[in-house]
Amino acid sequence: MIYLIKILKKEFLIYSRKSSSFISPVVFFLISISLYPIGISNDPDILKNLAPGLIWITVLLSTLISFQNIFSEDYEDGSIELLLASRQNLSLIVLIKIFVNWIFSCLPIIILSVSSVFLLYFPQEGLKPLIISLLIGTPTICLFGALAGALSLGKNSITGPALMLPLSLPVLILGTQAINYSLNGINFSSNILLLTAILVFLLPIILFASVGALKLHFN
Amino acid sequence: MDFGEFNIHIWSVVSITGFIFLLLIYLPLVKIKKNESKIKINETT
Amino acid sequence: MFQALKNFYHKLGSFPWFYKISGKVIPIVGFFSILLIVISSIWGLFFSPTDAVQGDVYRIIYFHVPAVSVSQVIYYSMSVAAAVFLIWRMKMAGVYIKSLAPIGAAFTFIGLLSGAIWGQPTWGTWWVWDARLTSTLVLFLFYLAIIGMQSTFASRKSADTAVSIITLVGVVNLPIVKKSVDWWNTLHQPASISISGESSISSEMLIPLLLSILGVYLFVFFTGLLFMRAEISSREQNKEWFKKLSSNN
Repeated sequence: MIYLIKILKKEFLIYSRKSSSFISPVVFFLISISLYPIGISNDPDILKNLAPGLIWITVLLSTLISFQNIFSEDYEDGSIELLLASRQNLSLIVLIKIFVNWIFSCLPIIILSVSSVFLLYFPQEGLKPLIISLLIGTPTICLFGALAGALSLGKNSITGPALMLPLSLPVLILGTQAINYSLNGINFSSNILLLTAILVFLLPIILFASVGALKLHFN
Repeated sequence: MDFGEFNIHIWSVVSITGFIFLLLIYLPLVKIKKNESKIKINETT
Repeated sequence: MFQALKNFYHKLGSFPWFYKISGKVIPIVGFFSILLIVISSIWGLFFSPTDAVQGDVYRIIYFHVPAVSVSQVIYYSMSVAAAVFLIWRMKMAGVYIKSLAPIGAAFTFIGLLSGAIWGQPTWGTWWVWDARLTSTLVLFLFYLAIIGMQSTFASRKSADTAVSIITLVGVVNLPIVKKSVDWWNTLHQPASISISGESSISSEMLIPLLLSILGVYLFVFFTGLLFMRAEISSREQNKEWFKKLSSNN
């Protein structure tokens, strides 16, 4: 147990010292959010309708920037090999890594998504479902990112994103639908529950698969 | 179907399907041939 | 009975045995599958009656339905092989997944393309973001991810394991994708366009359809054996049995 807390502290330290790990997703998010009105239209009515989908897709794409961070550095300096050799429970360690990565790469974006209220004319009533769906949906995406990152370690290939994006489709659908439901006055709690169900259901499976994928690199 | 009329939709599907089927047969056959002949060359040399 | 099955399973894992047997089976299966496909195509294209609503265009069904149905079956069979590979480390299962992935991708592609070409004259649009089409597209993307993953690992065993993991994660996720697209679909557009119109098909149309489905399944069996044989021939190039075998020919 103490071991896990130590790893948690170490991960926090690493991420907080390497500022690019949490600044680059944020910058990407802000740039794309301000590009949409310029590229599509500055008409508030059009933007208001597109906003839920645009925000969700931008969040999804900005995780693509950070998912390589979860394991790549540990892979390069060899600490993953040591973890594999130690007799600790690897899936818990992977869970900690994913959790810290989520805090540093997804949480700032979720907080920043409030800016869409004035940038994309996103109605204020929609903020509650937006934040809730992002809070529950993005951990699932980080899980997929961990699996994709573990499989494509040390390679700069398209396979990571190509694997991650089709897997994230249900989260994207349910997340944007929750916002659209609430904007149309429909109860959106079922979507949130489904997102939670997907997260809980996939968590053990993906953790197990990621550990298996990590072991592949050290045969 | 009337033999006289030419339905572009059907025939494009037929030709593309046929092409992919031929490709699915041709590609592994070439690979097998190549691998088996490699051995023979090695033995003769 | 059980012993015989067990023996068969152990034999199935042996590359030399498979190579020998597949060499004998392939010509027979190939002959019958091509025969069936030719018969059902000619029957479907020229001799089955014209559809009252759609006209002649409906004949695309004899290419579309078998391809779509087989593309899903191939994915499920691959996931079974993936489980076998991860649990029992059976090398043949890795060969199976690697060989069947391009075939599955090809049939998913045929299904998507023929669906688009069929949809253009009947509904006036090439593509609809309908539940079935979207989940077939996702299936195609999974196939592409599996094929792409093959080349990223240097060691054969690691690549097979990675691909098995992806296949299993994909098979867990596919039903979720399908259901979520279903829910999403109900909000965006009325279900006026549904592809499931085959319930009242007449027997004159049904028989060639069943024949074409059978033919395509046999064809997948045939090309699957061919691809596996090719894969084995490149993996076992330097093994003694392979050299002996090819020098005897």
